[in-house]
Amino acid sequence: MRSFSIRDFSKKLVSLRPFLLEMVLYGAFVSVYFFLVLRLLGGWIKHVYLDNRILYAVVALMLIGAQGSLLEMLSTGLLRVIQRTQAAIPPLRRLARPHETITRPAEAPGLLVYRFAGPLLFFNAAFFAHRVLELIDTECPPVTFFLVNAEAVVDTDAAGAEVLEELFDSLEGKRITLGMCEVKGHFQEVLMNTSLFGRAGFVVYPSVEAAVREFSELHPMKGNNAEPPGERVQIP
Amino acid sequence: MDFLISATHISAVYLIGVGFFVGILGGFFGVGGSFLAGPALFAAGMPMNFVVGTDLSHIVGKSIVAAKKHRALGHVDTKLAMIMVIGTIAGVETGAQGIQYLKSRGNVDTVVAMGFLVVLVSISAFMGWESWRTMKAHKNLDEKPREDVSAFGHLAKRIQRFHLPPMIGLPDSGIEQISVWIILMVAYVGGVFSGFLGGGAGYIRMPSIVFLLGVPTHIAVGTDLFEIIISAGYGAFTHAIKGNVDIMVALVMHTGAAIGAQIGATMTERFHGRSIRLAFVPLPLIGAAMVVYSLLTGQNFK
Repeated sequence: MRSFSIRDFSKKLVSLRPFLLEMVLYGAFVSVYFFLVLRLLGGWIKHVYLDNRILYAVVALMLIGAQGSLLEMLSTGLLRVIQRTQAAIPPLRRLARPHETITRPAEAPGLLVYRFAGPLLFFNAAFFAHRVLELIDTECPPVTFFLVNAEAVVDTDAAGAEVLEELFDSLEGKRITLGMCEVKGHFQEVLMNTSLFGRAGFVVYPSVEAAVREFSELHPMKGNNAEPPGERVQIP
Repeated sequence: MDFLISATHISAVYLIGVGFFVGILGGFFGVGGSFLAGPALFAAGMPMNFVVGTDLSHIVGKSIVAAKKHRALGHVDTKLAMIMVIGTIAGVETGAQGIQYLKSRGNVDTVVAMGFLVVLVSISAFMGWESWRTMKAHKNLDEKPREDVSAFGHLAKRIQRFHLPPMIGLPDSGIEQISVWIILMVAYVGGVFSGFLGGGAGYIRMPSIVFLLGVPTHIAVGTDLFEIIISAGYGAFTHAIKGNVDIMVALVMHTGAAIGAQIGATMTERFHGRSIRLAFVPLPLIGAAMVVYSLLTGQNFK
């Protein structure tokens, strides 16, 4: 029996969001239509019903047909606007976040490269973890390898190191590999003192290209030839 | 809200809510939901002759939305639908004449309500039995078949082999050959139910299309909705001339049905044919319960 997960439930709600939004907007339009048209139409329709049944039948069919087409256009149009607006939001959000770059190499589906431009310290470590988990939850196709490009992570402290360890544990539970590349300087020194380097499944690469190469070799797409083994950094 | 033609007072919110729920059912099952819409209108105090005609009118507007969605998903056999229209129109007129006769006798409410009860309970029982047999037949397979195979597939094959010219092929539905007369007969019977009990009679027609003609469920849903636009349009017209349609009730109910049908039609892509048929089973019984309640107590839901 599957256990109930608040995260799963909220994901389902998010997927229904376009329809819920559409219903709210549709309800507003229909309410206006109801008060401006339908309530005023009743008296006239009754006169036609009493005076000329054939005309009434024709008018009735035309009204229901016209309303059917009109409301169909309205509901379809609303859904389209909502979906397009939702599609435009992530690029706008990325413009508002210049400190991060997200790359999805086409030759490695399932691999997501996250470049964090700044030190990983006590005041932004929690935000970093939140962004990593948020990206994993919203990515399609699902992420199987999350690579942190630490090129611009010049420093970290105990809080940053602790967040990385917790993140590794969390992703390990979801069967997602956490890797890093371009690790150097004081960041590398602190990282070596954490438990991460002793853990199976934690990998460090010299570059993004090396990581993509190894991932592609381990998870070949159809038609790709075998690549030579990638490089891994041996921390002395 | 007062509806002057049928001389009834029904809450607009009630009508829109009924329309929304019925719209989802219509888009999802390919049946108009008249087995719920009809009893719901009767329970709100509307005379049965107006229930029949108004429900047919409401179906026309709703089916336009749902059928367009199904057509976009490739669920409509246009050839089959056009042939069925002919039989359905003849059946609808037969049913409408029946209503006029009962009106002149003054017992249209009782007779039509009893007709509803018999039909609804029978349909629910049969669909439940068929779904149980189908799921039992698939349960022991190691690999579930991708095709939508009904427990009554052999019956449809036998009917298709019945040679009564003219014969016709329906490639969109995967049928090599079938007699046109069988299609017309199935459509005529559905039309009689539609003209007499209101709605699109999809609760008769959809099972008939699936089990007797052998059309896959998803195609049956979309084709049924597409064909209803024309046949229900005729039904609404003939009942309107006979004074059995309150178009204002239909318009109000349809505002809820329009968006419900869109949601229901999209949901059919997420469920297997067997699941669709099984979920259909309890719905007619809800309609039957409402009719019984209204007949026995004379109470109205407004």
